Amino acid sequence: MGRLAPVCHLLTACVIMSGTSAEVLGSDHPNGSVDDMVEPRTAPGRRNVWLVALVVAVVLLGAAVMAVSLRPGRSHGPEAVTLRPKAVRPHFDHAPVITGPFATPQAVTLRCLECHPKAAEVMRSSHYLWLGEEGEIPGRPGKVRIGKKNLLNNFCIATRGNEKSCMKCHAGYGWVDETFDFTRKENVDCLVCHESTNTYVKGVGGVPTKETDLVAAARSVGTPRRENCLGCHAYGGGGQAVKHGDLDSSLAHPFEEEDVHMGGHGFACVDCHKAPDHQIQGRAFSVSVEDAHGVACTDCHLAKRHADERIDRHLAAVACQTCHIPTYASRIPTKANWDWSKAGDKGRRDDPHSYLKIKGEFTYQQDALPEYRWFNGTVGRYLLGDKIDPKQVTTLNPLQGSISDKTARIWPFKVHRGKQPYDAGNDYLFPPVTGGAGGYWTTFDWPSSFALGAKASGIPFSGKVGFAETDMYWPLSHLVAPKAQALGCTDCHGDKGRLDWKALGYGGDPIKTGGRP
Amino acid sequence: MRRALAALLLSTLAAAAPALAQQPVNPIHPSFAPLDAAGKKVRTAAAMSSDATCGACHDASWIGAHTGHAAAKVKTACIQCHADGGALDVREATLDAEGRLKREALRLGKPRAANCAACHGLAFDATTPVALPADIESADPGRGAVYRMTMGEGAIVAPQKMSEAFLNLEGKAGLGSPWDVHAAKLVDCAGCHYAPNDPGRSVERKKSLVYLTTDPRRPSSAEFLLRPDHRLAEPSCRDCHDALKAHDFLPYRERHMAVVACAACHLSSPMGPVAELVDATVATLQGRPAIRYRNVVRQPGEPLNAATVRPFRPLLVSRVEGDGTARLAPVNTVTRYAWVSGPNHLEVPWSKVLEVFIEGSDHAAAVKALFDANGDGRLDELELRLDSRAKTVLIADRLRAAGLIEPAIEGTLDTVPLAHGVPARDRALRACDECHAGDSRLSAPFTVAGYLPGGEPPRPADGKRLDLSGTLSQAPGGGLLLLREGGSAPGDLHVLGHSRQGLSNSLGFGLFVATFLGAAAHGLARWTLRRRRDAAEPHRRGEKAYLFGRYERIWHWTMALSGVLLIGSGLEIHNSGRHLLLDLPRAVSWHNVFAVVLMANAFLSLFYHLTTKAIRNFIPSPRGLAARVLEHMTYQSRGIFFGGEHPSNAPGHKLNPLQQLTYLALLNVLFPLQIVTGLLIWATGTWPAVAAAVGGLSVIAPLHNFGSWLFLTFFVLHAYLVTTGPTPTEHLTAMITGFGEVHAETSSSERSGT
Repeated sequence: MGRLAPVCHLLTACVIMSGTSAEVLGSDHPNGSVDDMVEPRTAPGRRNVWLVALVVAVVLLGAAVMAVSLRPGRSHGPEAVTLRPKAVRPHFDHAPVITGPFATPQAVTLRCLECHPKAAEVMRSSHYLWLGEEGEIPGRPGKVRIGKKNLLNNFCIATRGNEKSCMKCHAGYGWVDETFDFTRKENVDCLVCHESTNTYVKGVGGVPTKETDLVAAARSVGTPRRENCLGCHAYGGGGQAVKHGDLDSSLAHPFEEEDVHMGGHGFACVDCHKAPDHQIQGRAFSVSVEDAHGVACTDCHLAKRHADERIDRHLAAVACQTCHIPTYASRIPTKANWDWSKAGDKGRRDDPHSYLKIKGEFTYQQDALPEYRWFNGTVGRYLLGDKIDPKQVTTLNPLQGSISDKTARIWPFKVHRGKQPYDAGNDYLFPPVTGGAGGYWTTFDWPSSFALGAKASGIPFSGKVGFAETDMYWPLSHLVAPKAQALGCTDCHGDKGRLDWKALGYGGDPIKTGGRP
Repeated sequence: MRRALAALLLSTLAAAAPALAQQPVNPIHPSFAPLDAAGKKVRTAAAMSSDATCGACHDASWIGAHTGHAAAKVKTACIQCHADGGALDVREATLDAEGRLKREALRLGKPRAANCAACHGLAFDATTPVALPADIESADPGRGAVYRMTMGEGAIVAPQKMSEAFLNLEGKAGLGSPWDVHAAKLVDCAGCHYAPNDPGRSVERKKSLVYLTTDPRRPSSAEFLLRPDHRLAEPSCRDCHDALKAHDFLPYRERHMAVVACAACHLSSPMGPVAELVDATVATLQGRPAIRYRNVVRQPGEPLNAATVRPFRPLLVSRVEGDGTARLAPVNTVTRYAWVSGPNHLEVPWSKVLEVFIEGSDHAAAVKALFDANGDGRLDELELRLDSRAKTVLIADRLRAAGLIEPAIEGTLDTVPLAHGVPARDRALRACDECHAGDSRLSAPFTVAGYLPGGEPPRPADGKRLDLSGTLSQAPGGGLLLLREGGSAPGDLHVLGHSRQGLSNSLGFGLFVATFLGAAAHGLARWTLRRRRDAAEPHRRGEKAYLFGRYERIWHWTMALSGVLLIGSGLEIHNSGRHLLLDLPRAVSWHNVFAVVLMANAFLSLFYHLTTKAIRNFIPSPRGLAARVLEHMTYQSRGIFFGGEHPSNAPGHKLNPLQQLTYLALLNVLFPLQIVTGLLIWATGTWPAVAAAVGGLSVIAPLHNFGSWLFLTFFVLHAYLVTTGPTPTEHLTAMITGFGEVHAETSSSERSGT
């Protein structure tokens, strides 16, 4: 009935108008035989006839519009998500303008800067500095500047003293020790992100290996492709998918079932991780403590667009990722556990997925269930020199947020658990030197590698080495599955749900006990 | 003791079913000592009596008298439904010194899906893979009800997605829906089939006092636990769902909800294996009856789990639902044949049938000799059936030899309404022409039984007459086929686009064709004789005069346009949107909208004609009417060909008497008929009672249909007569520009064409 209301309005309008029209029509009537039946009128309004025509036209037009718009059959489910249209990237074939030859990789950079002088702005980015902006760390006073340069993790532990191999992933040339000059523009590595031959290989200190064809790489430059990013981000921690549970080389050619953005819609990393002024959006909570310059699902998607309002209500307590990333490491296993204390055993056979003499013992997980925690988008951070309790597990980036924190939501995490060497005299975690001459990987002697590390990072070493358990939280945001694979009610609620409600602070399954107050 | 044994037997059977959601340890149920029937403490599960043990606190005899789970063949014990896996874990290790069960053995409580599934059909929890258990085709007569929900309805209750099942489902990758959307949203069996006096459930509206919405008097928890009413609720969808608050996309929502059961659309293509015929008169090499499925594509000897399951298209019948309303509802029929013997026609034990058919690990030699038609040494599906007298006699003889008296074949026909395993809404029927088309599922033939073992027709299982809304007839292969007349619908529903209007349609069409041919012949004759006519009465160019005022032209063309669109969209509805110009919902919208335009236009022009007295043009002058009619008819049949004089109209009349009579009928009969019947059809959606009062759609729709043929006939005639002016386009030009030729001597009266 309601849908006919417009017609009724039009009808009423017609009836009202018809009073006028019928009167004036007489005047317009031809002098036929009807004349003697109709009282001749000398009404003034020939214009009114047009009014009648207008009304009829409006009726017809309205009817036509309604007939088209009344089309039933629209789904009451959500419309397609508002995907941000992929940016149209102008491509300029650089091959004709890059001639070479280049004696050094720095010469390539200087050639780039001839036309792109502004690109030197990348020198302010964490991709070059390996340090973030100065800021506060939740739970500790004062401002600090942190980044890969000065932090510890429970993978390869620290970059300090290990620059020669760590800096293979630095977007620069020649960072082999603390003498590296960050101010020299030619030390920026443009090619690692922009070349597209897939033949560009960085060696010691980030300098390309001598086999690398610099001219070919330089002639191939363009917008960064997934392969450019994955070259470093899928191999962090010394191997494929060691660090991130949701980034590995399979994303170079992903299936839709694996990642709906990159596999289903052909997204490149830079479609979400935009880089205004070469300051690339996105935060990893292994090196950042907040996500002020991060990427969120809601940058593109309207959050409250689920077909079922009950799902929308979850958004107050559940992150998008929690339901839409049902598992991680779906195609390539990721490292879940790393025990450094087992390293150095000559008797054991090396197997990159379970034991390496230089690194210790590992376990890997594939298609793993995430762990779920409250998370408000900030983490604390273990800094060099912080005391630990070696009997307890030390969390290097403790998640902030709890059930009573309204800004916190339940997020999915890969938790990497490690057992790493520490200074047993001073009770702090320690950055040993592993690679290079005198490093642990050559000597298999912890005290001497600690001594080298003490020199490199300027932190005292007591002489006693022990092993302490640590863990790190890696929130999952990649590997978003197609919506058909998103979690359903019974994945969390009911008898065999994947959430531990008690551990999250609920009285029980909130479907019965109610949500947080 | 017997009950305990039965419980034990059934619990072992339940254990054979897949591992399902289990009862967790009950944190508050008081511990108790298992007792035997005599009330003595026992220390083994086998010796325990449910009635005595549970009856120590709960009123077992009252419950036994108030349960729907006590049919003749069904023996149920409390723990079968309330304990984990259908049995309590009673053994030395789980009992304390005083003979009471330890807390960790108290795995009992509200029945879980697993408990119900042990007898009713397949149910799975969120993590157990969905697969068919090996014994699903078992013939054990004691398990007659087992898997009825799955084999009868095609329902599998599980929260998991169909695409993740360990089954070969057709189009599996695209089956993202859960098997059962209720299970997926944590509504378990007991969520719908609850104890009606459970104080935790809202008490149903009292039927006797209409002004009460609920009854606040309800038993206390203690009273309920003492005497829980086990006549479990069997609610309909509408008890929880308000269908009118969804289905925005659906035209005529109220009408659809009034005559279509929810299940008709929401259970339109179950993906579980659906049985058609369970033939226990024969035994396969696997020691099972021969089972024919409706939706399983299976290689010989293939396990059911490996076969391909296709969507099952159920039979739609008119079925009275819980609220007393008959609606279109989906059902399946399962025919079951078995040997019976003795004066009471008791079913022959399956072991005897096996004995007769199987010798060692092969079919008995005598059986094989007769049955193996193609001589390949094994009995395939087509051979292993009692489809000839010789085969039936052989087996009957062998049964007699095995000691059975008067063995005979009996078949029962069971109608199973589809109610469980509702998938997500994207699997509900959405396409209009699934019903609103001449050849839709409403009158599709349905195989009741592919063949009849022993040639015996089946009898309805519950003795009641079945109304399958069709005629049962012999199928070519010797089976039973349910046939429905094309265009008919169960429950005598009139379904737009599907139901045929028979007589009115043929009559109307005949009239239309006759008129069309008549006009064509008339036109051909005019064209053939045009020279002769011109010779007799050469065309004289008359003076131009303003014949049709602006408003006259506007209303004329508005009427013409809306009329054409109404007829076009009406034809689309008539043929269920199959002309591809408009789909059915769009055609209905256009039809409704232009009906309003036409009515508004008619109303406005009526107003105009009344106020300007132009209406007089349409009223025949009674004086000399008959003579003038004759005169005009003579002209149309003679003068128009040979150049006769066009007869004049009654003085002061713009239209000739033939036109006047036509318009009189058109405006006073056809217009009101179409408007009233059209409004009634439209009102069926919102106020079904109005249409029902005059006989319902099956009376109104044929009238409207006939009226529209008359309209189409008028259109043809009208369009043809337009061409009979001085020149073929003369009248048309006049109606467009307003100016037409006027001849001095005939004045304005010669305007015959409109």
